[in-house]
Amino acid sequence: MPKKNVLSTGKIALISLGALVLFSILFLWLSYNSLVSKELNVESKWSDVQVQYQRRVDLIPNLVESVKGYAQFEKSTLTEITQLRTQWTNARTIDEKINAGTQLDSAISRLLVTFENYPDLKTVETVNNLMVQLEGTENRISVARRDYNDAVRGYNTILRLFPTNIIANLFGFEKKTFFEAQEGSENAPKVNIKIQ
Amino acid sequence: MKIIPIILIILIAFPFVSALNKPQLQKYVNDFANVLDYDCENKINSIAEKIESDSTAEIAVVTMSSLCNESGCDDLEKYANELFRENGIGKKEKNNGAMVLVFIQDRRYRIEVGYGLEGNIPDIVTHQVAEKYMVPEFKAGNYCNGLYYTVYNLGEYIKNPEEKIQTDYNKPPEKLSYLGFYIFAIIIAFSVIQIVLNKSWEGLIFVMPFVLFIGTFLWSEGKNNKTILFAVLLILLVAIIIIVKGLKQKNKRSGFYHIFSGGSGNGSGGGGSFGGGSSGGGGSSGRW
Repeated sequence: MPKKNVLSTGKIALISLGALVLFSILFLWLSYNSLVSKELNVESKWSDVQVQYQRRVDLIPNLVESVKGYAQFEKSTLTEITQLRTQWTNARTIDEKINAGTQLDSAISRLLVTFENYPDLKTVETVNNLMVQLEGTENRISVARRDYNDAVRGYNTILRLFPTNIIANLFGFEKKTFFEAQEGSENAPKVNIKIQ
Repeated sequence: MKIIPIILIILIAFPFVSALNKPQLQKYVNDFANVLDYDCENKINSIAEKIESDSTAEIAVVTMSSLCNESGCDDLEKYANELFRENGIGKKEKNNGAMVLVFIQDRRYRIEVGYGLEGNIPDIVTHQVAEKYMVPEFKAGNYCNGLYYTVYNLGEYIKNPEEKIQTDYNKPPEKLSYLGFYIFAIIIAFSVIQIVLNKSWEGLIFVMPFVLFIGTFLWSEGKNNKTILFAVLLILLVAIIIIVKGLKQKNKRSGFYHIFSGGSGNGSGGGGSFGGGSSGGGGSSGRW
């Protein structure tokens, strides 16, 4: 009589439990890592935004210097921009940085638009170049913010999807905030700069 | 033509859907607006191919009619960046791509520059190249020349970032200026060898100008000069060692290996997709 190899119910239960534990650990591991990598991506894209803000802020002293001679040119806007630059540099928390950055957005947008009204200035090469650089920086900021928002979207999505949301709650992962576009600042007014 | 601004208050739920589709681009000229003839496309394709084989940088040329259609208008900068990224212009590891995008009906252009080329062609340079070479030609309706000159000059800046804007497009590349340098180096090399072998110090007369030469080059701007200088010094040193040793041991070592490093050219004069590079929004836009 051949010996039948039958697993007792106890053993089946044990193996099933073992498999369950194994899969749970695997799932935990993968979900956690997925959350971490998406969060790191968000942080990386955030620092890219900061880099572009810094680049813009660095252009400001040159800008103010070069238009100083043209006394009438938007003195109040220039003063505001200089103040906001200091505010941004001194900002310590993320919220402060965002706040100062967004205010700078509108101030610089206004500056670029009013530049149109000063045809004499457009012929001054240094000023013209600075305006081109400012435009370029504004564009880079837009791109960096879009990339950041994409990263946040990706992160927030898996944060809420089942079953990763369980792990997220367990380990205290929190939702990230998007960059809220101020009305018009997503599409900063584009200036038609012509070299005469 | 004014672009209708799209006002977004919260970006979470409403990712911007563009009105225009983004076509797949081929190397190098993509004349969707049909303003270039066959010969012109070939001309631009070959210069772009040359630029790629010389520097591995990929330049795309795209002509379209308008940013607007029935469903609305797109933002030029946003469209350009997305088109650039979706087609991956430039080599993936280097991100050395550039795209000249023109909208014929709207009379607007944008030159989008990848991360890796932002040093060679900064925003101001793209603006100047466009305003100087593209805009006047486009105003006269000469799209071919405008685009050709633009690509040509972008290529010049990629090759030599500090080069002044080229005015003569038929001028052969400048290799003669380095010839004098090499002649000098060879003369110096022989005089140094002479000193070493004959233990005579008259050869010092020849070495003096070399020292002066070093002085002037160390003080001149431009990394190119310094790298060439050090390369020549290195060659000199190696030459001296080899020749001196060879002569002392009476060995007939024939040999300097000449390593030819050709450019890593992709594509074959047009056709083929781009290398996967990306852009961070560098470049400049304008109108004509």
